[in-house]
Amino acid sequence: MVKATRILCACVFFARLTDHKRTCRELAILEQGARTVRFAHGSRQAPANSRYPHSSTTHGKLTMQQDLVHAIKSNPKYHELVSKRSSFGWFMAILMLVIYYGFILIIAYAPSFLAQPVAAGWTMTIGIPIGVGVILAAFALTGIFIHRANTVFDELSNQIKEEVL
Amino acid sequence: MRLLPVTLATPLLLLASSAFAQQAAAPAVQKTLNIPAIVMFLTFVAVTLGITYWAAQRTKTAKDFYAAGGSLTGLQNGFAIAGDYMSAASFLGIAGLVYTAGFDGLIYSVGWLVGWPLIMFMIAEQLKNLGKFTFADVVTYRLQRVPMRTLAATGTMVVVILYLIGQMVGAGKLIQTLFGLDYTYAVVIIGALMITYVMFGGMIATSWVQIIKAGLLLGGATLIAILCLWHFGFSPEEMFKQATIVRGSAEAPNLKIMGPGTLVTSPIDAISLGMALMFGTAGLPHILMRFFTVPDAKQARRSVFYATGFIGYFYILTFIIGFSAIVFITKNPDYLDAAGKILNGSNMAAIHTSAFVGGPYMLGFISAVAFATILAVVSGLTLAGASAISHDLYANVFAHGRANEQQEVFVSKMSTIGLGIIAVLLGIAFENQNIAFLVGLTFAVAASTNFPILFMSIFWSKLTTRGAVIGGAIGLITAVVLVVIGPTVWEEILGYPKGSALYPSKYPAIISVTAAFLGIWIFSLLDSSEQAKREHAAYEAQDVRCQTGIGAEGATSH
Repeated sequence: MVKATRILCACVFFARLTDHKRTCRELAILEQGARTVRFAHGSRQAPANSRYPHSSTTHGKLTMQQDLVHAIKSNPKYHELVSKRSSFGWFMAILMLVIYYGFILIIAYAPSFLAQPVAAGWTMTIGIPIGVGVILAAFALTGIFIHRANTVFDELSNQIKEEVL
Repeated sequence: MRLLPVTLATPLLLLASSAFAQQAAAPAVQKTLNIPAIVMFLTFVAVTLGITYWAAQRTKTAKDFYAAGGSLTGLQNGFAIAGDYMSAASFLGIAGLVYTAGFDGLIYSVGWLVGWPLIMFMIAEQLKNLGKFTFADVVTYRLQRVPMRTLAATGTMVVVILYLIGQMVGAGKLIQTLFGLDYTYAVVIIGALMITYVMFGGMIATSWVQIIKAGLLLGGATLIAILCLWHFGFSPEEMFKQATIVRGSAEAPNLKIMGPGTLVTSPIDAISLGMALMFGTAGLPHILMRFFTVPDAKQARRSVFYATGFIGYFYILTFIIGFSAIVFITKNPDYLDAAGKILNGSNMAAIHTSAFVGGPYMLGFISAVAFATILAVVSGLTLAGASAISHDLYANVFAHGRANEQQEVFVSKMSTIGLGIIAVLLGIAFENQNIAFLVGLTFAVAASTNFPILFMSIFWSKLTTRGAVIGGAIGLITAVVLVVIGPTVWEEILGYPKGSALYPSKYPAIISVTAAFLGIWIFSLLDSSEQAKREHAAYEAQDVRCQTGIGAEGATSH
């Protein structure tokens, strides 16, 4: 029962939130009818004229938007999502930087290392598979990220939406 | 055959050419008309104009015009991003660098690629969740509209104009060489076509021009690379072996081309160049804009995955083509001038190689692809510039959000014409200028202005308008000043003696990007205004939308 009420409230909040966003950001797209509805909500000035269209159109709407934000932020899954995704994102970004700058620093400080043949009697140097390897690594890292995002992060994100909205 | 492009170009030519007529009158490297190339290019133009007509029927709202209705799939957008990013300069330039310096070309292409994973991990989904049509939407999400839109639009316009000049001049020279067309005609034709695509077809036409071009370029490069490898029995080792023999002798093969050479000598320069390429890629307005053409964050990340794959694969192909060129071209009198140098410069290495392995039809095909490549890139740039004028400056700064959608799109179309004419005029004016510094400057500005304000607005709750404006301006000014007082402009263009440049490096990013971030950080922390407090408070809601996509553009429509 409590949950049902919460969902209902959240739905209303969400509807108002998206309505609020639309009035602020897509004024031009709104049809005349929708505008009437918006003004009927009691907004005294046209939001597009507001200096801070996303935070302070009217007090009532601000509170509702904040309520939704707080509902999401108090959901433990949201924190799980944020901490998992940001630590993974930073880890992958740093990994890419380490790979790239590692390659560059070898070129700068130990070029002869890259200029040695892959095996005795070969012309190909180990710099070539390493350079191509950096390109492949960049692609592989995006592949790993997308795999994890499509499974773990999207799943969490959908659960949050189901619970809060 | 020659009459046709001329007729096509005449109206604009009259506008453009009178002031610069003398400069264009002396074609130095003009060759005979390349008929297969022209036929294939005209086919491309006919197809893309057909698409533009089709796209124009479907471009009804501002969202259609700026963001292709947000309806592209990740794969389509991945192709389009690759089409936007793989310029003729990177195809011909990197192959030319490999031809000249061997291994060093690989170092360079790696730098062009590594920005993409960072865009995926840090920018792509966030951009889609927070923005609408331009990256300025994201930075004004909680910051003040007028100053931030102005700053973002300035960063966009500087990048777009600099990039356009480089593309136009490169294109004019390339087409003069490949098609035997006069430089001025070439530049005017490109200007006229790009205006047509963008003005009538908006983002839908631009995206499809880029998708087709990416397909042609990847297909063409694959074909040449296969034909090249076929010459070596599909053994890269054999290719490397023959290249070192051609550059040296059978007894003493030249092994210098197989390892790092002179491209990276100072580690500081290398780090600086790497920063410009990585963060600059993530600050290019025409690239950032592409993330609004997909329906949601999932497709945004998918776009980057495909784009990274295509671009990386393409760079591997250019490396093969460049090394094969060493074998095929270095001692082949057909492709050398009287002095024994490669005909029309090292940038032609890939083109000569295509002629060597595939004959005149392959040459024609690759020439047409190079032309198409330029068109796709300049169209994307023009659309990004026009959007900054109409969506950021006109609708949000001058009209204070009171402009309606039709007015905004109308301004965008007029800006497209204006930008097209400016690009043509600058292309003609810069014909005989040294423009080598332009690419570096473009990436430095993108990395030092657009990227820091975008990155900090997404990730840092304490960012304030004052900090972003001051820091962004510091980045922009530092980047421009360091390029001007650096060796490329100071010594080579302004003619001061060698070694007199006040800033000793060609690469300003390490200083200018750091200065921008420091400026943003310090001036945000020093900002204790009421405005700043509101901006801190608004971060929470922004971050929730950024993380979950709840309330994002497009998310509400289904």
